[in-house]
Amino acid sequence: MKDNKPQPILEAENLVRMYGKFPAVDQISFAINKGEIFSLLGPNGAGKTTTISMLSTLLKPTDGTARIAGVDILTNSAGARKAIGVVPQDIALYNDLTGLENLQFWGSMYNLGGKDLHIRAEEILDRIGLSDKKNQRVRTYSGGMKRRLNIGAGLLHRPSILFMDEPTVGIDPQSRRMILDLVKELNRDGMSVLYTTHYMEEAQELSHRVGIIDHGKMIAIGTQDELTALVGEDEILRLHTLDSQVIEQSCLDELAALSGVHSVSRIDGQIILNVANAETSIADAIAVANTHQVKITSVDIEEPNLEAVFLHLTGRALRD
Amino acid sequence: MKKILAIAWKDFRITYRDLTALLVNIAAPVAMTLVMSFAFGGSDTGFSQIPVGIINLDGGMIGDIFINTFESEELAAYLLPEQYTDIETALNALESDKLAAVIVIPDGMSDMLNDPSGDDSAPISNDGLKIELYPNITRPVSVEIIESILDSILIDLNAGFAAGSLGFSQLIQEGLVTTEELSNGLGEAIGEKLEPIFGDGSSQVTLDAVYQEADSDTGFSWLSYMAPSMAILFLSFSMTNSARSILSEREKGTLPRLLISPNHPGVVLVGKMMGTYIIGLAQVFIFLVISRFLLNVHWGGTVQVFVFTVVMVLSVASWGILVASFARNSGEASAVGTAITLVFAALAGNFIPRGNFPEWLKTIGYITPNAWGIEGYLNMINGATFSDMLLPMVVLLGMSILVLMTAGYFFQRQYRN
Repeated sequence: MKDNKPQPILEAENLVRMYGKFPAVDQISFAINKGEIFSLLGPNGAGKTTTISMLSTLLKPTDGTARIAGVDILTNSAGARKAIGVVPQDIALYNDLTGLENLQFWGSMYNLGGKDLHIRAEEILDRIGLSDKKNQRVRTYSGGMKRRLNIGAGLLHRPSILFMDEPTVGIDPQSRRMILDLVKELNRDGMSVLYTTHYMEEAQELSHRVGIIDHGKMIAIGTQDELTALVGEDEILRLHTLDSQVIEQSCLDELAALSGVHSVSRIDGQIILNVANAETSIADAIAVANTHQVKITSVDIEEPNLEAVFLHLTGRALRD
Repeated sequence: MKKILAIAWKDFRITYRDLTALLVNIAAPVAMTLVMSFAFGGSDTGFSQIPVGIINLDGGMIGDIFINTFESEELAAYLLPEQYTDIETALNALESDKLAAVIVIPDGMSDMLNDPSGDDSAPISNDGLKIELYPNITRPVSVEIIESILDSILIDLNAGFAAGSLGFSQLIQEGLVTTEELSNGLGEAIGEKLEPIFGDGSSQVTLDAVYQEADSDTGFSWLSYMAPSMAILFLSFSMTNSARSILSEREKGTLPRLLISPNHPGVVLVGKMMGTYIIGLAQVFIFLVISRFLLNVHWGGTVQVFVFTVVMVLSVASWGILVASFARNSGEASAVGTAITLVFAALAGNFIPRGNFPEWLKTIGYITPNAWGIEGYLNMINGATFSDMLLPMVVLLGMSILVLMTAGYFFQRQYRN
């Protein structure tokens, strides 16, 4: 009889990383199943990169451990490293080598060589859409092209799980779309992915399951449906203002005190309210804004999403 | 090993694809050798009198002329002559850099001028009786000055012989000239005094000197001094730059990526060190070849030059790696590396020959690979054999091992997580 129980490719148990007395990661536990895309969603400084650094054996955990493909990262770090591919947040490539030379070098670090390495590098270049640029030095590449090659370098040795640390930071929408599509394509081919981001939309689009991380702690974990259920039937009322608009705290306090409003936060030129019923709260919210000379330029009503979950759990917006 | 070589080869390719690196590593030392040779080719003095050892085995009139000349008031400001009684002691002083040169006036030089047979028509042979000069190769210009003085005395004395065809002893015996006059007038006056007395006599005696460095097939030149000096100076700069690439890689994120590949961190570190080393080797070997054909520098025997270079580059590279091992970032490594390079260069005589330094400063210079490197190359230029080079090679190798072990300790401390 076939066992349908999900097989974990990664299991993290009570990972802790202290910097002096400051816990950058505090007792984080989660598992990723084979063939799953798991996103760690959290604001900058939440502990996402530190978590990936520990899992990739670059940083030694202060406490706790993890197993990757059944191999303990503390007792057999070299074995664990064979199973993972890492796409770091920084573009970790050599600008004075060509795209092909970069892939050949990184492949050689994973015991690939000779004809196999050359064929594999060509395959990867084709997959990331850089075959026609393979003999150009990386310094001539655009930011998006570098990002794609950065991913390609992590795929050469056919890892069991790919760690991607905010791979779309600072790139144009077209390249971002290309990368998200590539992640989905890799996953369709069976690759497990640990994806960190502070973009709610990316986590929402890609992930089978999401872990929400804040101040080094995993504050929620589950599928998107499971997470949005945490905020109940709440809707999001998003009030757009001018970017230069000054919004006083007293205005936010008054909005939070309105009937049916569960939480309020401000991000860039927006005021975001978690409300029981957006249609009934909209008029009162605008009236309060007017009282404080806050000019509302447009209003959006959204179904519950991961941002609402984060807002609900922390009282802050993701990009606060 | 394959991965170590892959990392090293990657660094080599990146370095030599960079036009700036090519200019700094290859073109600059060649240009600086030429510039420094032209600029300072006239003097390695200026700090002190030139110490010269004189061994007067002759004990006669000719010996006195040389002694009086070298000890004359006119030359007192420039020379510091010291008489020795045996060659071995004098050559030891030369070896330990206490003298710029040793002059040996052979026994019987004065007797040669007296014809024992009394037959003036018979030629007098001076075969085997030649004044010898042993140079200190680290003081090229001092040696040149001493050679010039020696030449001047010889030319004037020979002019005197040509004019007079007479033994000096006869002149002195007849009270026509004193040894002091001979030395001060350097022979010209002799000729004038002899001319009216001896008329058309022909020369029978010629004084000559043997310059010992002529045994090597090159001789010494300022260019030959500056070539190894500049090669090692620019090697020091490029080794610091190359070694600090490990810090640059950390800052750019490629080092963490290397460290999460399934390799021991030591493989990455050794690969980076190896990269630094082969970049240095290429730099020096290219310089040796270019300077041989472009500047006509004869470096010496191929085998000893090759082996010595391999060891010397390792030693210089190890200092660059040491700087990278304790610096917190590439900027700090660059600043500290440049400072160390310049201090080492000053101590080792990369700019000015160490022969002119006080003894204590010369001794301190031996903590640098530069000093051993410069002396080693100069010795080979002047004909040193492989066995002659064993001591500097062993010292440089020992220094490399010690410095690399220290660097390994600092790396471990810095990169331990």
